Amino acid sequence: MARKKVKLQRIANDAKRRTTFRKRLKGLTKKASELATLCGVDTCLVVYGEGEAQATEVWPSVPEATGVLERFKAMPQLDRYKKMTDLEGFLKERIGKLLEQRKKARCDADESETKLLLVEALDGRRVGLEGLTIEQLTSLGWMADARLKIVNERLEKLRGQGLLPSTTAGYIHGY
Amino acid sequence: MVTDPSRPIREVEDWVSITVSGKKFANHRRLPTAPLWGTLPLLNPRPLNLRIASIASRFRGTARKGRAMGRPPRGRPSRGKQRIEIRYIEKDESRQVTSCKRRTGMFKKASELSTLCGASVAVVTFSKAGNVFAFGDPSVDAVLHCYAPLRQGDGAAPAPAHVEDGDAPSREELNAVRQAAEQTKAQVKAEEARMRDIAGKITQAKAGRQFWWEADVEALGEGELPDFARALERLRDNVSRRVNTLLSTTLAPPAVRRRRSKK
Repeated sequence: MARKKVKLQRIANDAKRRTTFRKRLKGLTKKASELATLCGVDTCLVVYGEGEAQATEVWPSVPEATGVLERFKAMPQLDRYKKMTDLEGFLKERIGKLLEQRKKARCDADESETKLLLVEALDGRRVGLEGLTIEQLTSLGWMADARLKIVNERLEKLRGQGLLPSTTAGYIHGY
Repeated sequence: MVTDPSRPIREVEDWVSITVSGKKFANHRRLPTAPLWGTLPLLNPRPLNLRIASIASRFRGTARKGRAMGRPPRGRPSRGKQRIEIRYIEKDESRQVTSCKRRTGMFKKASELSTLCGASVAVVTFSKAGNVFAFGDPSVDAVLHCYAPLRQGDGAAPAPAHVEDGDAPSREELNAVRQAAEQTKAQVKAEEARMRDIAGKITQAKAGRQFWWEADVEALGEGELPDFARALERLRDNVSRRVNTLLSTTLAPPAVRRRRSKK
């Protein structure tokens, strides 16, 4: 839903901030309600508007939310704090996850690149293997090696089943 | 090393940190023991069994991790945004995934609400298993401390203030963290785009070829396998020859020069 990219810092304009607050609060309540319904879990939300002394919003309702929070309070401290985060923690977690994703994506992309080299080389389009870095060459050779192993294993299996003539002169294949 | 098809291994080594001496790999348990490649830097140090694993799992009827809710259309990384009915999810797996994703999303929205509008927020969610997940800004405790119904009725409840705690990072620092996160996200997208681009090139390269060199090994007929094996062997030998050439030219010259200057 990106109409305009919003800078993630406190909105200076008072009126805008109040409108955004109302809109986003509505959205947040909706999300909470969806989560509770889809997953059948106890959820509650408590929001204080800027400078408010009374909770601006309590979802689902004061008694229900209080119930959830009582349940929360009743839990042993360790369990309570295990998955509790504040803004800083949450952002750091998010960065960690994104870094993992980036590593994985990079790895996948690199593997694809090696695959491409393999296809091209087998096609005869990489004469002399010019212009490739040592890393690329090593990965290429490694991939070729790995595939070769698989192929040879399969060949061995087929030879064992008698479906292929053995290259090493030996038995007469047949029945 | 026998590639085990039942185990899609995913080693997350940042290849930039690979050293030429190959010292890192001496300790790397997952690499094949092929002596030639074990000591050289690798572009993607991962056993090549992704393809095999997916094929094997297809035959065995197990779903690959991450595709639990059905295979995405070919060429697509995921099923995309799906319209969903807001009703209790019966399937355990789907419900678990949904709760995890939505919880993170909700925390994200809550964090944005608090940052953009200066609000104090606390979200508490349980899981089907009985675990609790909570997010709060400035902190769950701070917000709940002010929540009247929970107080023992000792006087008026204070308003949760965003206290400038000495240890806590300032708003600017948090902003910087946010920016870094966005940047990393962009990098992820870039890498995925690169992979799609390469995948396209691979399809082009395969088109119109007589042999599907790239094809699933299982699919190759018995007659083609020996040829394929020979071609792979040839390639591997060429590669090792080339690597040796490159290594000798980069390593030899300094010594040679030194000897000459002695004359």
